[in-house]
Amino acid sequence: MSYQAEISRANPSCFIFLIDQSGSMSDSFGGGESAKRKADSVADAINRLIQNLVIKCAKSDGVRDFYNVGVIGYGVTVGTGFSGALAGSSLSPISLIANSPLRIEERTKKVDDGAGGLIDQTIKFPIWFDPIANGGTPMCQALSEAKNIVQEWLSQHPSCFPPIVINITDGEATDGNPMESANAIKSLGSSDGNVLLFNVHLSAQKSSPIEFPDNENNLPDEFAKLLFQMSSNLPTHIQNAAKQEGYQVSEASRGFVFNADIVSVIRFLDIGTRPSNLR
Amino acid sequence: MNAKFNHFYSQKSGNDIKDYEDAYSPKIDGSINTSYFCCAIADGAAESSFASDWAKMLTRSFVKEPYKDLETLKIKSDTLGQRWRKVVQRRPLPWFAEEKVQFGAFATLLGLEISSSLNSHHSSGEWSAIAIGDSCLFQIRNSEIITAFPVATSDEFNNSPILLSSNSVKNISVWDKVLLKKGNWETGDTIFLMTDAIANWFLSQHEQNEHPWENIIGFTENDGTKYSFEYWINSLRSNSQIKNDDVTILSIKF
Repeated sequence: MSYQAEISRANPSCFIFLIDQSGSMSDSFGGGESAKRKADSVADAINRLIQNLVIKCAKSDGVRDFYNVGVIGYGVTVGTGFSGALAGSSLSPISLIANSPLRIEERTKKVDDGAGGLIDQTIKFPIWFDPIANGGTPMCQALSEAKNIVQEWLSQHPSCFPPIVINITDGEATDGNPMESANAIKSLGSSDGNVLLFNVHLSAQKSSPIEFPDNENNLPDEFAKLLFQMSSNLPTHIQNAAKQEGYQVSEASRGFVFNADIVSVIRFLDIGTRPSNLR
Repeated sequence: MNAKFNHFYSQKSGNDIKDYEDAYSPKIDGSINTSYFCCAIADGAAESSFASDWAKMLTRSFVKEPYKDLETLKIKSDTLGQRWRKVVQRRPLPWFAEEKVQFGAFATLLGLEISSSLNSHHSSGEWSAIAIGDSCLFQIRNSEIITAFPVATSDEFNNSPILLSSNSVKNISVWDKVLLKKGNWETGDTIFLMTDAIANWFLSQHEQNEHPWENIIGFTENDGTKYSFEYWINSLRSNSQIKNDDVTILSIKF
């Protein structure tokens, strides 16, 4: 059975995030009426993904290194997306990332007040990435770079839970067809299964969000269809966790979302008992 | 009653004892000569922070003053939740720990009250139990499981049970899942309380017509068996017979 390996400090896994920082990311997000640019959505998405991964690994004694994390930005150049204390390494332990945000902002979120209403709660929102929109979209090169990092990780951690690569993009590669590079990453694996490649498509199109589709029929454009085809099938335990949260998924569902949030994938990762009333 | 009480625990393989997030009460081993006795176990959820503090508070509080009904449990868990928050916020916390405190800590709770019948010369009596989550009670009589509560078959275990939270808002969906059970005991019976990993193994073995209680009773009959218990649990873990998780067992042999 694949995707069963325990994720622990003794047997950590790894995450690689690819973030599209090309010039087209300065276009507005989701239909042109929003003041929000795609680059803002990408920065929000990557900051929230890392925040949630840190929180998942946080225990009373600090953040446990269940994961090593790398971020590759692609636009004018292709290279590590982190700056400051994290700039020198292709992968960093999650505890180091937790303690090295660029700054911590305060935001408000609506939370259940326990009496059927919602109240504002101030939360700390760490920022590791600011929006960037400049240059072309060398997605193939970014995927190749991710493959090299994953390959090195797997040579040192041959029994780990398979690494997960999440690509956040508006879908328009400018250096060729990324399918071949995607397949090359997915062909790598540990003794527990193949590397998982998930894609987040943030589009300027005004279209309803789509999460974990099992076919491409309703996807709005050729770029969405290509990213869907590049994406791995959701492993069974992720399908089950998604179903438990009310997502409509099937055995054919893929790790692909269109104009939607993929933070739920972090919740679906199994590092031990997760209360069903923790939402 | 004249009973023998034993406790056994083992932290998840690869973890330090300070990482053990189950809890049990009371912390005693040996004979019980009393007409009334209480004990409890709790299993702090790995995905919450400060879960071991919460699990300890729940078990100690239950043994001190057992919850007889749902209303008492609601009131008590609110009070304990506020106390938990004060304890964990005694010192400044980094951003990620603050966020975890907002979510609250989560744990199972299985509490057991036992009393003797006055007219039985203390050779029989009643018990009542309260359960939230998947920590289990098994009662053995004449080499049979006569009670399995609240989980009856091994396929009922999953990785995301409903748990009692220190954050009262998260308990709204819990209250209609709280289970209460009453029963009788006789001299010769054994009652076990177990956290989920070993309880899952226990039921699986029983479903294969084995007598898993014999393994555990063996550890209660000799002193100085804590190391052999640890060795046995680690062998179950390394053979993938149980998942790598904290293990806690309380045993009451009447």
